[in-house]
Amino acid sequence: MFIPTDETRIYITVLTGIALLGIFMTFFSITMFRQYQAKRKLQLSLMSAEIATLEKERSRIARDMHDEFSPLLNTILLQLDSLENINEEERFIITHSEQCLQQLLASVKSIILDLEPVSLHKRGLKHALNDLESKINASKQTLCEIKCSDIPIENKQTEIHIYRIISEIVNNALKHAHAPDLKINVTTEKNKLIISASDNGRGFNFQRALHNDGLGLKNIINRVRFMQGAYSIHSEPGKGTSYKIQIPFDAKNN
Amino acid sequence: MNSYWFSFIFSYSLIIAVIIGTVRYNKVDEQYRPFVWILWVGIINEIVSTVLIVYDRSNAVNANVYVLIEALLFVLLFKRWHQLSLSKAIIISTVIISAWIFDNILWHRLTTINSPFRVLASCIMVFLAIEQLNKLLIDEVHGLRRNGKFIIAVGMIFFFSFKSFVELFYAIPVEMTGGFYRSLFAILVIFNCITNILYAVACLYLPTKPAYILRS
Repeated sequence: MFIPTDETRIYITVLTGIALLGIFMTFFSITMFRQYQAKRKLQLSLMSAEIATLEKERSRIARDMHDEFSPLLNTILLQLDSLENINEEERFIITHSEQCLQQLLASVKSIILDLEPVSLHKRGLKHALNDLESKINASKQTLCEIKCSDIPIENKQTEIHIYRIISEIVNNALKHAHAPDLKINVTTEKNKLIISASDNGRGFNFQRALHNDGLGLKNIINRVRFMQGAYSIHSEPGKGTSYKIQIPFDAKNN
Repeated sequence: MNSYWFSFIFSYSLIIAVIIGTVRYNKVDEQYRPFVWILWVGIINEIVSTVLIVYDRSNAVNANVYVLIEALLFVLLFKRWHQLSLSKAIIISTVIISAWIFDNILWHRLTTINSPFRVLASCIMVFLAIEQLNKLLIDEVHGLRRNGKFIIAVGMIFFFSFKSFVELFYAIPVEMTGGFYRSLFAILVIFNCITNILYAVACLYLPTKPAYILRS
């Protein structure tokens, strides 16, 4: 029968003590990881709720504007058109008013389309992006080229998120970078959707923009994180901006 | 100063935490009151042990009962902090009580200082404190230095992890020299003193009751 000597007992005790400390440290790491996962899940669900609320609000505002503003403006235009027995001066004022109202109507339609792109819901991402490209090029502020391959996205929410990301990139290029050229490419690679964009605008300090009120940039980053994607944004003052965004994509589940 | 007085002074460092806890007791949020009860039970145990030692009696019985009460009160404290559900708290308490009965009644006697239960109870305390600490580190990154829960958790990990290590030398009969055990005990007393100071600081930062509580 094995009878442990004093020395053996000391070794056993010390090893047991070390094993105990090892167990404590392992437990510490495991619970830390679990807490981190739980927090991340909570943050993602909060982000999801926020984005869902934002999209709902946008839809509601777009619908209200379409239902309230457009008919009213059209009615005013018709009424102005129907005026008779007016002199030259009055005709001039009415024509000028009609022009302003037409501009207002066009702006309202543009705002409604920005809030809720109808072609995205009806015809899909590729057509919505083509419409966006046409609209940007029509304004003649920037020469915009958007290439989008046929991506079978069944989940409408995913389509909306991708469209919003690209809209923010376009918005940044137009309003902040004042870029003469903007190129955007949307493709798939293995199981990832890749958005690459670059402009030759003014560029910006990325860290500073993130810490200031860079809502557009934060919007892009939040949406990418929400879809568990990865992003890489490079920009320097005077050297333009480039974006590379990868979003895990599963044609069956997305 | 001999080792007895050294141990006496360092052990009674708990009185600082007890005084602060008692003074603040009525203002403290109910979630944290079991912690003050733990301090009270601790100081009562110290006083009883001192009286027994002065009268040349063994303090094994009160020490054994104290470790059980302390463990159960800590489980209650973590239950009140919503770290443990009711079922988990009941399960852990059942394990603690069963282990205590087994160690102090069935295996050994109540009149001897029994270490196996102390090892188990210390491990449970460390696990509970680690979970709480991690929750605080992830959820509340700022202001941890003045967070009562954080200080209590750190104190518990600090003391009970060392205690579980030390009690192994008593639980497994290694038969070291008397000097070795005295040194080990002295280190434990120092750890205990530092923990008592941490508990005193924690008592200062225990949150107060909310001003208005809706009647349910």
